[in-house]
Amino acid sequence: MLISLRISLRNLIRKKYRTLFTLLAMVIGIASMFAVISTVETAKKMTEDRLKLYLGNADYSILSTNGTFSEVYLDKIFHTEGVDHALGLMHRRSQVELKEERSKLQSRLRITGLSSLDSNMLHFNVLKGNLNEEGIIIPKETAELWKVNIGDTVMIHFPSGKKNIKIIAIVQNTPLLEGPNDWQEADNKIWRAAASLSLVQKWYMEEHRIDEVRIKYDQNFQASHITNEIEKELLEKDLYLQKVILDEKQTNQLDDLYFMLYAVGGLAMLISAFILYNTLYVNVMERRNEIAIMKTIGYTTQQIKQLFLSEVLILSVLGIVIGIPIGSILSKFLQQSLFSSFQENLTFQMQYAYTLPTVVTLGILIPLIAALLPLKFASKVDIISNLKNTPKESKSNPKWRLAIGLVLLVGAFLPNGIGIICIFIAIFFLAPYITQLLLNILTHLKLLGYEGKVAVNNSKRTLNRSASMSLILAFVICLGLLVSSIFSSIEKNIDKDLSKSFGGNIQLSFEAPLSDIKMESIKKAINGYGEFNLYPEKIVGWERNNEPRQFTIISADTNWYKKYPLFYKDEQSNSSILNQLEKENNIVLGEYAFREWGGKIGENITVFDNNKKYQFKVIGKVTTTQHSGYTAFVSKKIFDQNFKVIKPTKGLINVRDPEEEQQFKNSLVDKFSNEISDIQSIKEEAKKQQDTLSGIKPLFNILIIIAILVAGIGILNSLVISILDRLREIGVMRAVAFTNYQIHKMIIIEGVIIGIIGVFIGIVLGLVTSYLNAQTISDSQIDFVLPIDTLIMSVFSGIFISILAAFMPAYKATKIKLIDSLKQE
Amino acid sequence: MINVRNLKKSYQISDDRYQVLNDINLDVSKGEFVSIMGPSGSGKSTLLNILGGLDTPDSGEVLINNINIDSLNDKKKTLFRRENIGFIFQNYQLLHNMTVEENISMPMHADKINKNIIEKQVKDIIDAVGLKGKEKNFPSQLSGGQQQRVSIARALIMNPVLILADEPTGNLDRKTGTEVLKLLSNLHRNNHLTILMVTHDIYAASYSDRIILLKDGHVEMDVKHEKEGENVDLITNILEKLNS
Amino acid sequence: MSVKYGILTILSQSPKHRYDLKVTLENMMYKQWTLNPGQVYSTIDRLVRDKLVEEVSNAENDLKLYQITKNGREEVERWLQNPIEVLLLHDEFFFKILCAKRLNFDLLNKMIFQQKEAVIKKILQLHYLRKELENTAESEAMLYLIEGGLLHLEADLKWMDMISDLEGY
Repeated sequence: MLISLRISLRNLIRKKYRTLFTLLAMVIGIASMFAVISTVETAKKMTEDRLKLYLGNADYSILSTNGTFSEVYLDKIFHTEGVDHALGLMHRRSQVELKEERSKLQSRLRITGLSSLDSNMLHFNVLKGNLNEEGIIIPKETAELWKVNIGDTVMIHFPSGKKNIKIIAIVQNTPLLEGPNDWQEADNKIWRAAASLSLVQKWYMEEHRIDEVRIKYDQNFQASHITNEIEKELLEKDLYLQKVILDEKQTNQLDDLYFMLYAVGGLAMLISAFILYNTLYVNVMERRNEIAIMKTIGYTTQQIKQLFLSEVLILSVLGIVIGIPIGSILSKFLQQSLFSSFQENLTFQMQYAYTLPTVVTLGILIPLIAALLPLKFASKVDIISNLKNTPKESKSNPKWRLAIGLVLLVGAFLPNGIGIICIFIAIFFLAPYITQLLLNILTHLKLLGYEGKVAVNNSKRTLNRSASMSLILAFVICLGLLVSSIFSSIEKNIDKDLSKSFGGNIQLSFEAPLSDIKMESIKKAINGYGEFNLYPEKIVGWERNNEPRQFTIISADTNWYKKYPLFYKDEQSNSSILNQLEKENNIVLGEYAFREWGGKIGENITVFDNNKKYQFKVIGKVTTTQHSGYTAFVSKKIFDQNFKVIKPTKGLINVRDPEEEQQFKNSLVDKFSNEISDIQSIKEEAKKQQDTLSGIKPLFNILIIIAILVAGIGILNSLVISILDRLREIGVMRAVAFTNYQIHKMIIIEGVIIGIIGVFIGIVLGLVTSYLNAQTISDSQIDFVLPIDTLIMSVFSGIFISILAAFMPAYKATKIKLIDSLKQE
Repeated sequence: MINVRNLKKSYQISDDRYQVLNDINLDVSKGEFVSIMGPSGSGKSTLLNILGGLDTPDSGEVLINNINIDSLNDKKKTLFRRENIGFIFQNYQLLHNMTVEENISMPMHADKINKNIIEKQVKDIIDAVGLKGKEKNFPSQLSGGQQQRVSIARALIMNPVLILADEPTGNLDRKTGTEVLKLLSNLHRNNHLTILMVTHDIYAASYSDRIILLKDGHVEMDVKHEKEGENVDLITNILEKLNS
Repeated sequence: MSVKYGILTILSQSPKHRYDLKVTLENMMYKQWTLNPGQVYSTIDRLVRDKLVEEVSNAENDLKLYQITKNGREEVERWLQNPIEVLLLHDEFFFKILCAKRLNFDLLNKMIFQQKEAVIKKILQLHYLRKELENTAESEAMLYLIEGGLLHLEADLKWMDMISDLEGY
């Protein structure tokens, strides 16, 4: 087969620009795929690792409903049979004073006291200093921002007064100690530091108290046995043992992101596959004569396919060889920007194990699939008509095409996106007829002179091909309009949507369960400004396919929710759900939780807390932003019934006067900076969503333009084929009467016709599908918004691209020497 | 070697049906050099195409060495063509992205023959057609006559039993055409080939042993050369004409 | 006439005896033409009478040596340069057609068919001869004749096809 490789290479080199361009497309496709898959792989691994690190490989935790408990238990647990390791923790809040003046928000510090600083459950990687002295330990990034080194001291505010505390060690960043990445982030994120448990106890005057004991079981013992032994030791009522469950979905719901990434990568690959298909098709068309000769000589269709296939394979291999290194650079860039936007500054290692073989396989498979149709066409080349270069009569469309198209059009009214799919398929079938219709209209318009008339006739002659190209442009435009209108409507409704499930206009969370005293002072502060609701929530476990998972159950004050709900549902109005929640053990699940659970409304869900099982009946699925939807709501009454009375850790406030919202929020933070860990107003959240959307929109517009460009390539290739078939005809025109300019004009008009038809169908399709989408989709967030800017952009870029695409074929048609084209027959 | 019985072929172009071949009966023996002549549209090329398996008849039988071509499936037809038939076309039909060598050796590569055998055979045949020194040239670097020689070489490379030539001198001037015809004639004589040549030029047809005239889709005339010498009369007749 | 000019041509090259002349003349025509000695000799006499050839010696009849005169050479040159008159109406076939049309002869079709067949046979015969000639070196002139013949026959075929078309066959 060596000769065919040599010949394939020669063929590829002969058409330099085309080969390079196709290769470029493939490299882009492969690089994007690689970057995307690697990013997802890395993100998944990183999430897993992070979680493990954060929880320190602990199997179980001992906590108290009261917040703290006696340190005595640490010792007891440590000596219990089967316990490999135990670590005692205490988390406390304070303010840190640095050399530079900083706001109160930015000075929040949380110190974690640890019973053992070099426990193997911690993984402290000491960069400078040592752990044996008295003082705090901070991560490298924090040290850099504070501009301190080991030996320096910082002023920390304790209840017992301000103290100068020495920095004894700087360690590599770990989730336990992760602080803000810059001072702006410090507005929303707290600084963290570690110190020995005894020191922290001293500072906070809570000797011999701890918040949590993290336990690592010895693998050699049976887990249930160890659990029993431990529980025997827990004499006090407020203490409970909780299994540590690694549910990454709790902290990082990146599923949607993964999906989007895959979609983008997949789209890139699809686009490059389309370009390959198109180019190959033109190749085969151009070489029909060659193929006919080879068949005459005695090459079987199989062998002819192999020849073209080897060209495809050479390109694939080159694409992979060039694309993968570029992909890994792209990947690094993508991951860095992605993870920094999540404010993760953990060093990550790029994962390739799964990515590399996947991309290589796809890099060969997808071109092969793209080549299927052109190769089939190559095998069907009719020998005689192509030896003599006589153009074949184009077959007319079978009648059933029209029938199927019309039938499918009726299916447009089906709900849930099926209607939209029906429309797409219907338009695919009806495309030639629509094109014919529009061409007839164009003929009557007589706008474009004689050249225009000829151009329209040419388009009619190659109806199917013109229709296909217009269709591709139309689909791109339609998709653009659809998504753009969805974006616009989401944008318009951000405020409205947020207010549906924000629960008021300020949300806050507290460091630790509030003591009664604290609760009173907070209530006093809020009084006069508005209403408030403090509530607890609980992390419970549940099982899916024998895999332990966990989510949060929120205690819902139904009275508050009647005014300011934290979730909403539109089919069943909220009030009915709230009523039902009051009765029995009813629960509603957030969308994500419902999806993960996989059950149906009316079924029961079993959750675990501490080896105790609780059953609830799922009465609904609701939309909520709490825990990104990976959560559930039960009424306060039921919550308290089932779980021990837990002190509240979250709060909802509704400030009466919206003007005072921001001011009030700031004052709250000021007063209770040690208690509040997180506070968010509805305006801030709205702005955040707006910003994200404004960030995505330009990206998306670029994608649409790229897609239109690709459709333009399709138009270009289609025109090239059309010209090839008509070389002699054009030669005659030139010889007899037409100037080059007139020929140019004719071909450009042909291109523009395809563009106009494509744009027209695309806009109609886009508007219809947007409208249908708004009507039929159950999510009331979407209503029909006319995306004017995308519309105008599509029209102009669509037509512009088709004019541009026509330049090359027009040039080609006039460049050929007159004599050669006349001899073509 | 070739037996054609009741061959019929027609074409449909929009509303008209053209009966191109209307009940053709024909026998060609091994080693004959036959010319098929006739006005354009008389179906000569169609007949050739059907004999070569490039086109299918509407009805009738075509046997080459007692094998019914039409009954073979596509792949078998191609293989049969590869091993038994050599085509020569008016416009040479060479592949422009291949050298002379590669063009000629193409059928052998399709047959997956050993590289060394290919080399030797190609070399021999290049000598036989008089293209020595042009092995590495591309068709665009050759004259019309040289290109036709390449075409002939390619047709012969697999030692076919039958050569089908469609207006082989159509694109050549008289002088070059004559050279090519002489080459064909020599090859016919030395290798005992069976050649079927379609031509509209009686001068080209004179190089064969037998001339068949097609008219309106059937055989009008089938004239063989009778070996008995009437040569003396030839010259005398002409000279007498000149005399009178 | 061609005997006259044949002799003059041969004598232009070198003087010859009478018998020699006959043999050389025959050889020139590739023995395709047997000449009557009487015709040859009488032509020689006429040439001498016209002063285009002269006797060299006074020997016996057969041993007489002849050579070309200055007039003779000029005559050969003049004859060579003079174009042959192109005569059309001498074609016998054409005359037959003329007669057949006059008689509304029904079988004009068959007549043409048979003539065509004959022409093609002739063409094949010429080719056979051409193949034989290709083996010898001095055959150039003869080849010209054959090629010329083929071209004439080609023209005849075309003419017959044209008549067939016009007659609607």
